[in-house]
Amino acid sequence: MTSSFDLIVIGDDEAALCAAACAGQAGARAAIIRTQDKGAPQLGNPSPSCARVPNFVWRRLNLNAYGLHLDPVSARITLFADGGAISTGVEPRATAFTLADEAPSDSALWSSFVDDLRVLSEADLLTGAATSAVLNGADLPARLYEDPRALGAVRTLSGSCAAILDDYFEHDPLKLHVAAHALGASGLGGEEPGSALTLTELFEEDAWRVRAPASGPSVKNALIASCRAEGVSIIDDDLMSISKRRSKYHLVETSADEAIKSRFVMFATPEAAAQQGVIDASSPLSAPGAAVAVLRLKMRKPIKAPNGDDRAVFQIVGDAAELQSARDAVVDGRLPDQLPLAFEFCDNGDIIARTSYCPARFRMDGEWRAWTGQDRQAASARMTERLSKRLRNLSENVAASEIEIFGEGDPNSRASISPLSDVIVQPQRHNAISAAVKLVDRILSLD
Amino acid sequence: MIFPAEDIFLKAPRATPLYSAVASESEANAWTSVNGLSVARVMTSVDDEYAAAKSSAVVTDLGALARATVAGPDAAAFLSRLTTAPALQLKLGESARGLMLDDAGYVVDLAEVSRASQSLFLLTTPTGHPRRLQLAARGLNVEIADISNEVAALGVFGPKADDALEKAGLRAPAQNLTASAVQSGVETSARPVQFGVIPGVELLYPRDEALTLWQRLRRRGGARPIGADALEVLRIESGAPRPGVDFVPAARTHAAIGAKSARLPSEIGLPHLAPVNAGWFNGRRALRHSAGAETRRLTVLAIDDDRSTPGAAVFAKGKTVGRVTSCAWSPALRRVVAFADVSATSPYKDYEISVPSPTEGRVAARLLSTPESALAEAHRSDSA
Amino acid sequence: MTDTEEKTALRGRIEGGFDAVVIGANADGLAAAAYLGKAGLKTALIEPSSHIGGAVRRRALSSGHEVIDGEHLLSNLDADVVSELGLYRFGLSYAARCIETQYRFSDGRLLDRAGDWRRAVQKLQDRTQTAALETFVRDGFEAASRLRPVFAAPPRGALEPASARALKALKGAPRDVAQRLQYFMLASTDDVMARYGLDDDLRAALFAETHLYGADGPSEPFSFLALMRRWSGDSAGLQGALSFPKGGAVAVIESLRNAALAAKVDIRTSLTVDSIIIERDTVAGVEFADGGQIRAPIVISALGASRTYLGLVGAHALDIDFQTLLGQAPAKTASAQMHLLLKNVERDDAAKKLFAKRIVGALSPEQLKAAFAAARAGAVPEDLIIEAVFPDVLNDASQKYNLELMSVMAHPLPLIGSGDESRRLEMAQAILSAVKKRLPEFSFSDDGGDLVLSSDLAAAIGEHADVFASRPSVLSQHARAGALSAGAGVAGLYFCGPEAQIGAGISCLAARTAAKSALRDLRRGRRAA
Repeated sequence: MTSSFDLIVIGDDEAALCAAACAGQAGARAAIIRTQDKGAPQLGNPSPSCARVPNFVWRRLNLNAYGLHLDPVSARITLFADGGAISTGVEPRATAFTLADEAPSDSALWSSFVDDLRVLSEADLLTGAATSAVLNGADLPARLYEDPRALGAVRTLSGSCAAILDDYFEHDPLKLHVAAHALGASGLGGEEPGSALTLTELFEEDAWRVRAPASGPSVKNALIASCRAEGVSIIDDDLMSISKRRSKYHLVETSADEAIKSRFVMFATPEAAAQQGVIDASSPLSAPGAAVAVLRLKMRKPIKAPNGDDRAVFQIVGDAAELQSARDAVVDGRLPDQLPLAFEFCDNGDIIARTSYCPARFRMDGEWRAWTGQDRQAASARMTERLSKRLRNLSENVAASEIEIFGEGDPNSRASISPLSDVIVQPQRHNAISAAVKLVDRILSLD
Repeated sequence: MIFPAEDIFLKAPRATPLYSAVASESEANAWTSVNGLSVARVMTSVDDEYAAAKSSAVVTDLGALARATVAGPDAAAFLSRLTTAPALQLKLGESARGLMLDDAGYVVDLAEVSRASQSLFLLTTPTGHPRRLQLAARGLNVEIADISNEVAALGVFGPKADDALEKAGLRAPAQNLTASAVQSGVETSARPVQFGVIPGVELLYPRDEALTLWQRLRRRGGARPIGADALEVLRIESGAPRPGVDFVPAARTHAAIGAKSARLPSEIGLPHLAPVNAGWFNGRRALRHSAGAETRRLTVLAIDDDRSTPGAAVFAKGKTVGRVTSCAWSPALRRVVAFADVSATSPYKDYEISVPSPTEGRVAARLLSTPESALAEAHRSDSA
Repeated sequence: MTDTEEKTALRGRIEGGFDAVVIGANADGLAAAAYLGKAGLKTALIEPSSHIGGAVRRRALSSGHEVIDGEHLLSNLDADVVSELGLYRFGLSYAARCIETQYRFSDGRLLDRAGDWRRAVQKLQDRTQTAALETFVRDGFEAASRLRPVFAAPPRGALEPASARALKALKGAPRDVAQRLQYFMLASTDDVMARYGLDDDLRAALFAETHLYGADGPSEPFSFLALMRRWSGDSAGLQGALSFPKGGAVAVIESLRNAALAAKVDIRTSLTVDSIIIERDTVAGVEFADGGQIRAPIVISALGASRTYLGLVGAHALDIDFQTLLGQAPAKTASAQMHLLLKNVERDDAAKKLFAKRIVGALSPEQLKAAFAAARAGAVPEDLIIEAVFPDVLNDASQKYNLELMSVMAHPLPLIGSGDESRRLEMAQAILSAVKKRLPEFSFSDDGGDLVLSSDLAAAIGEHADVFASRPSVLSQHARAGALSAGAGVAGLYFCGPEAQIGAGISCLAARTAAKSALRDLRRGRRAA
């Protein structure tokens, strides 16, 4: 049997579901291939990078109809490994006010900083071009050539995160705070080109976390329902191969012996792609060679959140050099000694920690090898240790811990995908949902 | 100096040093916020306040404006780079109005520069531009300090302003010179300012003393407090455009992106504040090239109606040529006065303004000549 | 280079009668002056130091051997400049064209490649990966030629007819080519190599070609474009090739100088320009430290950007956003050159063949990434990319018994000030050890080689060390060059300093662009008047 679509989204996370639902909503013939383990336990809360539904997606899919509710992120807080903390909020002016004591000269600049970065991220010059290299043709080269005004933005955007921060601020803890939150999502180092992009993206727009009420459906189930409502075909088979036919359409084969034609094929997150062995490092936003570790700590009894704020996104980091040296270790195929990590509190008091500074593969004695159980344990131990240093009473209250590695790319389960086929891979973004939906819009606007 | 646009979707405004003084006297208790600071809209009634400003003396809290001191050997060079005000030519105590332009010659904001001493200047702007100041200071020997939060700022306007100051025991500044002195026990800098083009005096003094001078002016000087709404009428009548309302300030550092909404000085009716043949200022080279490239024109219209609304369409010869950007009821003219952003190619007369439902239609409007437009006209004929 | 040009005593004198002043007698300054002089403009070329040629200079080692600092191979000298200025008539000739390369890998294996990439593909036919390489070279060369105008002329104000044609070529590309162009502009070298399925040796070889002189490692975005930049240049008429001018890089300078002199350019050395005079937003000439002036309606600066704009124009007269271009943090890495004296050279036929080649010590992807990480963190990497040539042999293939010198370029190294002796020694040892690892058949004299850091080159011509730091990503160079060459909006001011050029090596393309813009604006001004 051969069915035919405009767009196939591969993946099973919130970003993939939102992308598929929005494509369906826009009138495209869309399908989603849910490749990940079905029946995995629905944990009450998503990982820190996921399920931050931006307002426009909420409106478009009418998510209020599914019993979900929006739950704002209150602040971004960085806990420095050697003590001390710094916090910034959503509202720039209020943030400037709270920063006034600690970093007086920088606090005045905070609003301009946020405004400037928003202007830059809206220009969308490189992020847009990166994900649409397969879509738009020579848009970027031509635009850079004919529009000298875009050049200034490109100069900043193609540079490093550290260069921008040094240009604005003097207070080192503030710089480290912003860098840690900006780079933490992608696992880039602050000196790397492309890290400027993740920095601008950090301030792109306010995205709100979505929580499911205790009695209602989980966020994911609500999104699946939304996909159904928008007429998206949901395919629950494994992916076998993707090939490009006569540069017109892709032929996607699944384990159910189905051959599906589709004009476009996209992975909504790099993790979903890596699982199929597709590593697309062509975007400046992606940190090639990196995997993401998510550690869930089930607590016997909830512990107190730092600053008393359990709605914040926390980051733990040592010093300014740590982010870059962690990134260098990942490129080198090692697990960094000091893992910069982000964590959040769940409604039930559980803690979810996440780090993007894990290698996709390890290199020992010149040879590459995959993750082992020992590596997982080591990563879990390093993360727990770091958390317990800054969270009092953590270790004695942990009931169970569970670590998952995304993006390691298990060679056994890989589909066969022709290397130069133009499968679209969304790189690591601060707001995967927003980026995926915008990408879908761009794809659909081609017709 | 003009207030910038009000904050929209406001969250938790903070208090200015004079907040409690103003609040205790605000019968209407109607507030707005500017730059995140509370500003009273109406004290008692707009008409009474307006009348007082026209006939006697009014006092208002100017604490929401952004202020910085600029010191150092290159202070004058810095300010004449940053703004179009002729800082290098200012004599001790003198003030000058100007604009801040971006590299492409588009208006970023209004600015007012006063020279307090040989190498100390005061810069007042509707909104703060810390980043721009930081960038402009690179390569120059200047010290910039943001004093917005440290001083109480009080404006006294009206024909009897000097009188009120004198009665309150405060020395009015000479014709156009700043006077810094210890006045009635409070270290005060009194400087002549213009609210748009309405002359007045601005008193700056330490925030701890906020209430002292206010009360003295009220009780002994008899000056009446005035709110932002009445000032708005005066502003439109005087022809002073309001940043963020009558024109969109060019984006702060990456002006190039989204330059469509940006305006040249002549497009907002302020060509006289950016004379390309006087001293150097940022954006002058671009401005020189953009002469004649104006596509918009900001004008003040008197509308023959009792009300209007920002956004109302402006017609000329039957065609839409622009929109009303701000408007207010003028008690003196018994009409609505309004700023309108119209096409530069539209004729200078016979405007019509759309009237919103339920009584849809059009009413006539005519060009109102203002003190500001007179200055612009004089500048145009000078340079022609 | 001998300094025959005498300093003219000005002493506060105001000189008129000039049509143009060019500041900085490096390759670009000479070329710009030659262009203007050739067009009939009375042109003065002012050099602050006593030396002509900028970073390129001939110098004697303590052993008495003559070496040339700066470029040791040409990859980028613009063909239009050569023909328009008639450099062949003025002494430019090639001693070696289309130089072959031998890659040497860490495990001791070799890969020989013809100087012409397209021929190289055919010659490598015994390799399993030829098909992949062939596709890659074909795609790469096509993209490089299409991008050539982009690298050549950063936009300067309104679009010129030539730029419009270039733009049309970009926009008119077939869809798959266009996709590739866009992909190549953003991608990391790593990603491109992986997609084309090139094997480890070819990857290591291409990594070395791409990342020599660059600030970015192979896994970093935008890094691949550096190879496209190199491939878009041509040398002695062949795209993507390397050549050696007879007499070395100094001979290129010499021919440019002759061209300038023939165009009646008034070259004055040891004369320090204090400021560029700007009147009513228009250039009016230059002023010297002693108060003397040369009045002219056109000024072209070939000095570094900071020196030109902050030093000669002054921050107080620069637009605020424009100035942010100058404060950009430079790359933390740089390249270095080392001159080595050879001992006991074998002179059999096999050896002679080798001496005519360029030998590149290629690193594995892991080694290269580690090297960039180390250099960026301020440490001297364990292993380096090296490019070794034998200038004596290249200069005269028949010169059988005079082989004594080897010139080595090494990259990446941390950028240090020129005074840091212990770091210097550490770097010299690292380069020497990298050379010995890759070229074990040679032995060298005991003096340990003569090290020239990029900061030495900068110091020699009075520039800040940043000027010769590693090249940032091509995109960023393009953006910077485009903005800087616009002359800060001052009418009559043009810029062709090192930052106006995209990619390393003597090119003179920025000089051509600046001179042509100046001449065009002059014509327009005359027409308008």
